[in-house]
Amino acid sequence: MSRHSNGILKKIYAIIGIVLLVWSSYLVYILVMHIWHQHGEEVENMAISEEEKLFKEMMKDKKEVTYNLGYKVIKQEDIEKHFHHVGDPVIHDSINICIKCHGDIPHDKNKAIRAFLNMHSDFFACETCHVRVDNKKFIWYNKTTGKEVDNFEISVFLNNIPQKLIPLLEVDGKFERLDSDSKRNFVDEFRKMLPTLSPDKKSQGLKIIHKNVSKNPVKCDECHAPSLSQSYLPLLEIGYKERRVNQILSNEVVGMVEKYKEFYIPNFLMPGQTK
Amino acid sequence: MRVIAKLFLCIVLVLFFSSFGNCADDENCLLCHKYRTLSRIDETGKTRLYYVNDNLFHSSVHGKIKCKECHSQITKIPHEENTKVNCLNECHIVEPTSEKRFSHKSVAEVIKSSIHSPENKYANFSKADDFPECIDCHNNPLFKPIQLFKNITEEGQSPKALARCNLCHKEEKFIKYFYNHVSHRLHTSKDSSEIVRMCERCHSKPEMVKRHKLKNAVATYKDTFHGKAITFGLEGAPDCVDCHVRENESAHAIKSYEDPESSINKDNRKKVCSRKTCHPNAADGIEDIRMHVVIDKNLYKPEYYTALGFTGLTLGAFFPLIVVLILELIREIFPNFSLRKFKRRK
Repeated sequence: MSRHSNGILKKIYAIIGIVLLVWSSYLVYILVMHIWHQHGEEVENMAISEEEKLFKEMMKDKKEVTYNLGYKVIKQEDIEKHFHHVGDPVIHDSINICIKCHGDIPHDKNKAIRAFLNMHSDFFACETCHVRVDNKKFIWYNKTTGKEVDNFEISVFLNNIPQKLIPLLEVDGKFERLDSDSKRNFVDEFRKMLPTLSPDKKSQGLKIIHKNVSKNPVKCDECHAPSLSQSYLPLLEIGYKERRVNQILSNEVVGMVEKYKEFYIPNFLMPGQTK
Repeated sequence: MRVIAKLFLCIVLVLFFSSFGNCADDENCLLCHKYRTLSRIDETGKTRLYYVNDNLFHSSVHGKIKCKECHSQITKIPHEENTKVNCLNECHIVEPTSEKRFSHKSVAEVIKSSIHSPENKYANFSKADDFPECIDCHNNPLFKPIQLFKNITEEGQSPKALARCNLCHKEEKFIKYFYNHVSHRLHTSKDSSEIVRMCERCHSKPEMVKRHKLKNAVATYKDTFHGKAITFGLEGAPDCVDCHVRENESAHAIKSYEDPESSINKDNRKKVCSRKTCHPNAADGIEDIRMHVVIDKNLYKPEYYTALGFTGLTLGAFFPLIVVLILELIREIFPNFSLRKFKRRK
């Protein structure tokens, strides 16, 4: 073997040696240093209020837990006091502008239907219901890249999918995305500048960002309507297969939507019928 | 007459086939609960997730239980508020030996005699809210079947055994469910790290530890050799249950160390350490080794100074030695490198 190749081999051994030494130091560090665990943090935790504790807990990263069943390994979020297993983590939308401030469990006002509305935010962008468009044209985008997804066909229910539906807005005869680059840049800049902006500028910014938001968002029974022609969403055009359309507009779903509608009509609208 | 006969035939066929189906969701709860993001933020700021992973649910020990049997307080749509599952409910499954409907009532009876009951005389604090409910320790147990063949034990279902079952029993779903159920119970279905994580939920909460006059048992356990083994992923390493529960007893019967019946009562400790699977040749005195030691000068002086000594050795000798060795190896990689020359060139 030449002197040159001997030299390379020596260097490779040296690199491996460094890695092993760093690794062994890490092991020794865990073995020895863990005994000095933090009584300080425990005492500090005891002194804070429930609200502060919750805030602290919220700021921590989500814990992941692994179940090795032997024949398969399940990795999922560790949710305290949650009986049912959830499996794969939620595919979060990192593109939508609204979610940057409102999060992806934004609905809270309407007690009866808030969980259903949050469920829809998995596959519909906020704008789908909160921006009413006259000339209806929708596209699906990838939640991670933001790119438009062509030929998206839906034959079964949508669950934790990587795509989301968003409406296009007609401006001067041309359709453009509600989360256009210019709007995205404005929102990003606004969020960055927020702590330094004067109160009136903050209000102006919010007004501009929300200018397309409808005062009357699309309601459940406008899409889960008795027939396809009555549905707000052009279900076939956006990629739903006929079988799935029939399920969405079925008596089972529409009937249930009706039940929830009755449930959340406030009593003051029915004088004399209060319990 | 023909129409009536056809109708009758249809009804018979429907009833016949429906009895074989998997009826866990015949109320069609999954119409809504199959969605991963069916959730909301509750009044305390916590996320409430109403999703049920159908696939994992059917791989669990409760896979044949209908939703309504646990969620019995839910009677209508929209659902009532603040409904709570009572694990002591009787479900549709008939326990074959007693021929009575199955319930977890017997587990509740065992817990009553354990230190996890506020009624236990050894409990240092007896406010019922502070004691664990089923959900505090358990999520839905997933089947962990094993197969045994000659000297080999492997995970998963044994096709050989299933073939034997098939000879007499024809319903495949039943066979697989029964196989999973039995073989799941033949070994410890929760691995050691899962058990430690489970106990940690309460035993590492400072306010809980203070109220019950306990130590941070899990943190101190993690300092021990046993705990370190878990940290490094040794599956069979001894966990909380291995020491704190008497051999061949349910973990639900866990006792206070002061209780003479406890496995870790001073008089019983040696027996626990010298179990066949642990330290069978343990000498006298093994029971005196303190397992949950807080490194505190005022509480445990010898342990504190030993730990201090070892830490000093690690920081003062081991780590400097490692630094020297790494520098030596870096020199091997760059034999002609000189800091002076490098600065001059700059």
